[in-house]
Amino acid sequence: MTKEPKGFDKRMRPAGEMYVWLCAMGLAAGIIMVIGLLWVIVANGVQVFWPRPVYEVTLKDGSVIAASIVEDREKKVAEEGGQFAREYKLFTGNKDAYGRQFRYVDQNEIVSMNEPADIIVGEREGSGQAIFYPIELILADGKTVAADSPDFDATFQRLIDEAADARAKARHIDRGPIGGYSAKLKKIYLEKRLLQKRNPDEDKDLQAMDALFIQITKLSSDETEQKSELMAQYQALNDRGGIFAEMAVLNERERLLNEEFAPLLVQSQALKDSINKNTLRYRLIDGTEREYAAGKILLTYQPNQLTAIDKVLFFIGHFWMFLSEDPREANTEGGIFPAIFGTFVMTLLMSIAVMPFGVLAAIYLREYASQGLFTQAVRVAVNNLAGVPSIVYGVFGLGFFVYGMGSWIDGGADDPMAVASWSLWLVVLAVLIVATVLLAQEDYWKHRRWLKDNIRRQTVSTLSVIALILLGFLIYESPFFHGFFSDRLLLNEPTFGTGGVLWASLTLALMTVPVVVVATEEALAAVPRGVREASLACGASKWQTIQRIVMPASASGVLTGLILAMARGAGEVAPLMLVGVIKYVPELPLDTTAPFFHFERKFMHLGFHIYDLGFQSPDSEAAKPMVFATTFLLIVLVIILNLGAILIRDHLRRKYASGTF
Amino acid sequence: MTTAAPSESPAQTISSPDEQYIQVKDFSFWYGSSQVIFDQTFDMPKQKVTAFIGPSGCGKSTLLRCFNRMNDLIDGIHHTGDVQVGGESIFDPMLEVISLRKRVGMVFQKYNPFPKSIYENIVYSLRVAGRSKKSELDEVVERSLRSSALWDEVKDRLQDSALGLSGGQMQRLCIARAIANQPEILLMDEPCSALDPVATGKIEELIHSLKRQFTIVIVTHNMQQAARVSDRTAFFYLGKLIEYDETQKIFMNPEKSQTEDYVSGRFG
Repeated sequence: MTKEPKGFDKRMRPAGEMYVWLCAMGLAAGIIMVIGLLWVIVANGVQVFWPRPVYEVTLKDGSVIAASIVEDREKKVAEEGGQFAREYKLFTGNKDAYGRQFRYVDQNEIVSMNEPADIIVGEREGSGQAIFYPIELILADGKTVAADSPDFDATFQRLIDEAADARAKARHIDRGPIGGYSAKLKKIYLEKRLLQKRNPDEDKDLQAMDALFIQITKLSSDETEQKSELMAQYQALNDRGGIFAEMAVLNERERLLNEEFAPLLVQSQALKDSINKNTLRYRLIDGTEREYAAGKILLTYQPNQLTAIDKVLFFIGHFWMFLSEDPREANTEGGIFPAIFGTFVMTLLMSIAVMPFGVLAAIYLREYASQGLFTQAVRVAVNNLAGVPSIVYGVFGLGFFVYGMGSWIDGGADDPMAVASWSLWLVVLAVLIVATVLLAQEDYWKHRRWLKDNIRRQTVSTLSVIALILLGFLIYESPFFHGFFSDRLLLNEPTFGTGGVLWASLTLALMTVPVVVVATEEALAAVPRGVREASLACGASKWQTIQRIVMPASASGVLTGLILAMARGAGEVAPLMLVGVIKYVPELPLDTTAPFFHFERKFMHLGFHIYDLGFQSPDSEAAKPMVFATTFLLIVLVIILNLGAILIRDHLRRKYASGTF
Repeated sequence: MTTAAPSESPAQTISSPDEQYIQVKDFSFWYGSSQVIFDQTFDMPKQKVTAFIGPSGCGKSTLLRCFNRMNDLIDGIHHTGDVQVGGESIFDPMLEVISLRKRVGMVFQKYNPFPKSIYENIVYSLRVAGRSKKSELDEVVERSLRSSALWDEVKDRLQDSALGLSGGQMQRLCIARAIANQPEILLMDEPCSALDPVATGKIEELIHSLKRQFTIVIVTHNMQQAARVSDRTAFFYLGKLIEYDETQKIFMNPEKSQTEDYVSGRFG
């Protein structure tokens, strides 16, 4: 025996203190990375909306630039003597005049910099921002208002407001009645084309008839002689009857439609024209004078005269515009509302699709399937699906959903089965269903011991799976189904047979199923055995136990799975590029024209928008801050969606608190 | 189902005027390949309390869980012999296990109320049986809670979560839940092992009053408890029924020395 020390050993320390420190460091590193990332995104993203002062920069060579400073950085190339000079990245705007919006200026070259008080920044409908001194307004009636006259500001503001008003009105007409008009016109056009397609022999004459019709409509009313001649030709074709008469009916419908909507079209065009009728003459800092339609200037401000409150208001206003407006100029200007909405709808659809799918699969896997080697293999396989690269899901979605299901919905099977063999298979299916139903009669088979119960049940489930697969196959191969949109397909216009928000959601649902399955399984396994037994002992069946006890108790865990799935799905871009996301679609997947849900439409997505802005944009320098702002919004959207799920989860947790098991 | 050949197991049928309600006949039971119950044959009388005692692992809980076929949940079990309730075999393939469990309620070792309100806990067995008439449910709740001596404590908070009750209250709630649908038999698997002495006392009183209505089988590790609450006691050891008799006789004057050693605490 070793000698026991007397009293307490004050040098004694608990083992493994080091590891506590290590764990804390790991967490700290994680937090620092997250905060750093958020900081970079927010700091860069916010820049877009914050007004920057504009400087008048005089260079050594005598030229003058008006620009705001974007970046102050060290030059890449060393000067003589190994010194790195500093340079400014300046935003000069006026892309239409200079051909570029940014320019780098060596700080050594700068003679002086000052902030001219009366310089104006104008945001324009095209060509980005203009930085200028106004000269005069040339009104539609030829009058001019000079910049130094007292009512210049009021007049200019009035023109901008009027233009905004006209733009909104024109937009309202275009989206509303004219939208309906185009849809009807398109339908007539479609029918005409179909008529031609279906009668290839008469195609030439039909085309001639169409051409005549167009000529007649273009003639003004005083060219009666020519008109009557053409009318006679037209009538001659019409008298041939049959498809020609049909064509004439369609033409007549088109004429009536055009007549009905002509005033609206004129009105819309007049509104658009009114925007261009007043002109602003302005002078750039280097003395060149330019003209620009006053109505196309969206707003102006004097950046060097803004007070702090003005700046905050400016920031809020611009941020709101970014949230609520459609993109302009190849996405580099304007807002990103369609992308926000598209991402939102897609994530929601995905959640709706993935939940029942994943939860039911997990219930069977955990509660019903016997826990053998096979079940374990299925579980491992499902878990591994989470590691499949997302682009693979995109390819699968393109092949299965778009080209498979989508084309089928559009035009039926490519190569349907012959009616005879199809009918034969139908009989097989019927026999299978009858056999399954007969075998499933518990009461009958209870008396007949020669058929072992478990064998019977296994047979029933196997047969029903086979029947289901056969049913799907037969529906797909049906020789009697020619698609819901076969007409449009004739004109090479697929409806569902091309990418759309529905297919994108289903593809992502497929991708996130493993996440939901794993989380649900964990949650189910965590429901204590005690309550299950108690429920069974109360006379509940297994399904009642699952439905009334197990599911409510595991609901919060299931929602955790959904949160993870949404976070993964909303941020995914690669597979979406194959199954429905495109650069610019002003139409939303949900709107007020019947049937309100347009899930076959292509859509915009924040993740793709980031890629598009950053790497596909004509002016990636200009788009850079937008990339950060969009990233910021994507994160905010994911957080909002998750918060929704978290709130539901907490509510459920409180309701089914299971603290004392 | 094959019936085991008659054996020389300690078949101890007590001649008694009571109706023999639960009858265990040549019953053996296996988990996979390990046998845990060996050829037991004995009967339990109606509206009496029968206690199962014995050291851990002697198969008393397993036997109890056979009575409502709770062991069906476990893979790889099988049995020989038969158990009858009121003259009917509980292993009859024509019998739906749900209808057996309606007649045989169970209270577990660890209180396990559902994460629902007190009210919903009690009416659960009625709800799963498809009964949902409000007046009927209300009546059942009050009757069950009164029978389990919980009514006065919870009558004002029936809609509160059952998980807010104390341990003893939860176990009495579980008893109320088990008797809500008026079973004939009440199985209790060490109902007091997780409770303090005061709560245990209350449960024991409850068992006394419940036996007027139900046939009770209770598994317990507590000798005093068995002596206090039961009319009959069965002593098991290593899956075998060693002795089964009137409780008084088992505790005062057992026939087997093993039994005497166990009840007097000299065992093992």
